[in-house]
Amino acid sequence: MKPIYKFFIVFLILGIIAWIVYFVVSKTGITEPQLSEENTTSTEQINTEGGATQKTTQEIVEKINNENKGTLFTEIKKISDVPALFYWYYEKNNRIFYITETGVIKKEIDGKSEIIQINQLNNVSVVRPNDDGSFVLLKFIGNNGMVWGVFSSMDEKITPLNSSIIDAVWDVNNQEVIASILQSGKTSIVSFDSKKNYSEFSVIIPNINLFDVNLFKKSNDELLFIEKFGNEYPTSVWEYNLKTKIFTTIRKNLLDFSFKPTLNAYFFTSKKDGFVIADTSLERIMPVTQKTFPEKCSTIFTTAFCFVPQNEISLFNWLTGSTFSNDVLYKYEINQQTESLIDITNITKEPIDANDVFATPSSLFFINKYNRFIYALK
Amino acid sequence: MKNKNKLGRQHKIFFLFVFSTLFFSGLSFVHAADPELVITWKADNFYPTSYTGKALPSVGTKVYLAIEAVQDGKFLDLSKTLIEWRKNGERIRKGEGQKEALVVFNETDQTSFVSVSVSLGEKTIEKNILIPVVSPKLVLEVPYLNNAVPKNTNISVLAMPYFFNAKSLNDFSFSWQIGGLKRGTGSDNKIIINTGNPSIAANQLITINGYIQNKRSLMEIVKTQTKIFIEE
Repeated sequence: MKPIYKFFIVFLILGIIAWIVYFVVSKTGITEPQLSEENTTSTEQINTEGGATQKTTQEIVEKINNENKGTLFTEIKKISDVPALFYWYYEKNNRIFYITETGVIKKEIDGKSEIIQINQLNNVSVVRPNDDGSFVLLKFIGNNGMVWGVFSSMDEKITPLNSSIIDAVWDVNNQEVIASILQSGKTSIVSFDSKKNYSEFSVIIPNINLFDVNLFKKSNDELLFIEKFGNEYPTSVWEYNLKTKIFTTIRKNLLDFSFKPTLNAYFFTSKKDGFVIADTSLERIMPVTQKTFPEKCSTIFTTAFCFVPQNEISLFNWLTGSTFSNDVLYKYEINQQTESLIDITNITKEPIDANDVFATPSSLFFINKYNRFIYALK
Repeated sequence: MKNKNKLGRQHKIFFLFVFSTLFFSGLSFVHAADPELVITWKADNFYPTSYTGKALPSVGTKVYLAIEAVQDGKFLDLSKTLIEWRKNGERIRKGEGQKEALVVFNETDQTSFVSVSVSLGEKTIEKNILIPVVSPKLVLEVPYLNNAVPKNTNISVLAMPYFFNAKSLNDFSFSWQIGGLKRGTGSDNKIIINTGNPSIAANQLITINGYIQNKRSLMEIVKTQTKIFIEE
């Protein structure tokens, strides 16, 4: 064989190997964030997301586990003195704040409700507390239209935010505010600095046009865009990596999709998947036999509580109030992979259609949609 | 001899050059995925603030659309790109960098497709979506399990409008018919029914009709019926 042909064949083989390596590496590089198998590590990851409260985790988990051997809850307590639109739990003072149907902010102290001395808020449509409830993002109608503000549970005052905000969520550090803003006809994703009293922002994604999506800051580098649930309209979930500046479609063609992230697990439901308790990659982390909505669930460390409708009900009918549910309570031990029914029939006399569920080490709070009062199972 | 070696080396360099060019151009051709078009939209109509889902358009609703093109995870700059929007095949907007469009579906529209085509060099990428157009809906909220209400109670029924072409609850007029009897008309979307009323007997079904009219769009009149069962 002529040397020139030998050279040619060797080069061809090397070229094919290089091509395969290049193709495989580049493919893996793009899909890694969405496809990484985190099922086996999710529990560990979940355990480390607790932040400042981590130091007491083990004790409280043990306490919950011990309590769970018997009857978990022994009483139900009405928290609000009037129907409530929204509420949040302020961890530092172990206190519930809530907003009434007339836009008054109240706090519950030792079984009594006190009015916070600030102006009534009109048409409050969004209430987003940070993880410990110390600061709360509020969206309401002010004198000049829609307003976003930050309520301090400590100072009991509202700091108005930039008027160009379309949507806002907390950053993972629970201090900065990530927002989509509209300026000069262009939408951008920005970060408002808490140290500058939210008056200044830095652009993190310039000029991005995504309508009717919810933002969720998943980690320091990952920002999710979750298309809102539309009855029979297929929705998508996208992720933007702030470090690599890569935009990926995480899920698409989801029908009846609803999503609730908590510190310890994500809950979602879709027509195809049913109800799922998931890790941060939206991968199922434990089997469930019951069907419910994420809005009816919460977690405290590695324990999840979900109210579960006993009647067939569609997400749209439930969200619009066309149909009310009749709930029972389930507990999910994520580490042990167990699902159990919690008997609360002896303490609850009225039917429960739970919404906006929030678990703390000592209580399970929810709004009962039948009368819109806030309750606590203790 | 020297010339022969030189010629061979030249051949090698030539083959190397040709092959490398073909190889890497083929590589980039195989690797560069087609851009993905991401279309999102929002309908500008009325729904209660408690509703966390997506507003769905009804006839006459302004629907704002936006597009992004993504290739290998990167947003493409479309500012100099020809973008064409079509509603049910009919062009509604065309021009360089037109990343947003507005559509309104009418009574005469048989379907509700929106398509967008983006000219990227010699390629034109197109995407179609079907936007669900719904009828405005009036929900009567009866906060009792299975609509079974106790006798001798004041029950509150709430009428909540969804997807009307209105701005606020003040744009609506409500009226009621309870068990065949007409009850108040006005802007209050709540009605109190006293089940202790002698005309309401136990163990019977009472029909509640709720009517709503959008004062901004007089064609938007909806009636919803529900039944409540009076328990002992």
